[in-house]
Amino acid sequence: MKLFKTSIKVLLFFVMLSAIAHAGVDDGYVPAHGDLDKENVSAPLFTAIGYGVIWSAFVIFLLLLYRRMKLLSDKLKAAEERLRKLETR
Amino acid sequence: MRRTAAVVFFGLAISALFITSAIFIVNAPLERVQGLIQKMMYYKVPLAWLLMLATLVCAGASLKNLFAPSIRADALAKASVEIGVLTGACVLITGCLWAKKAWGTWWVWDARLTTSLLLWVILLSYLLARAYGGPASEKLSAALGLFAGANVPLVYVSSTWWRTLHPTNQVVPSLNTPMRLALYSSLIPLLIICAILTAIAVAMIEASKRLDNLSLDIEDAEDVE
Repeated sequence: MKLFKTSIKVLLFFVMLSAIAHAGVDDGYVPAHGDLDKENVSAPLFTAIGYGVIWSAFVIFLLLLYRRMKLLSDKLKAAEERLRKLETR
Repeated sequence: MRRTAAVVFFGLAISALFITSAIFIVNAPLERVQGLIQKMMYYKVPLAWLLMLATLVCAGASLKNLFAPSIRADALAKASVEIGVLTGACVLITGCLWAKKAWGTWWVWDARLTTSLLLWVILLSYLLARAYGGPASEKLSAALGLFAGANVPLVYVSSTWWRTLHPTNQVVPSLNTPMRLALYSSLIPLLIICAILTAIAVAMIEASKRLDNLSLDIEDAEDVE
């Protein structure tokens, strides 16, 4: 649950950061036909979400790796300690 | 020494991704028809290439693991699948966003999109098989890794063989210099980041096997007592 909350925070942070970076950027999109307002889905917002998702996915993956690494290293230390005690007995 | 080098390279790659590639992406011209949303390509295409590369690495390691089993090959196969799932998720999500803007729909059952989704699902099933497959899961997942590897050429040629909404493979060679610079300035740091993440994941899988062996040693020592 804690990891899920952290992941959501990381995702929001990067999407916000990306959205700030894209704020006021000219879309540059000219529809070939039809109503501009109707066709013009916000490209800066979509691009910002896209970049935000990619950055946050990598950060969350790194956090998951770090968590797994920490758990493993604790377990390895405990197992080695236990084995040493058993061998000295 | 190796750990310090990895940390330095990782830091450099992250900096390059956030600074150099951002500068090149901002300076790259807007595509005439699609406008800003086309700039998603500078991350999406390298990630799609990395998805295919990770899958091919997994297939190679799985093949080795089937015929000459080794802990390193098994760990490499699993680690590259983890990277493949990560990059694949990014490709599919950004692809949906791009499709909504460019084609007006989130998803179409186009050959390129469908084969990419299939590849990602196979990689996901590899991880599920490893997690819940029981004692024979290593062989089962190695077979899945080979299936995934066989799907990679299909993903690559799908937009050439079938008529698709997705652009063909000729788009990247036809890019102008600023666009190509932006693409490769993202590809190189992403490649380094993925390589280092794979190396960390391999080290952790090997450490987890060491833990299993230690647990067995502890059980033996307790039995002797």
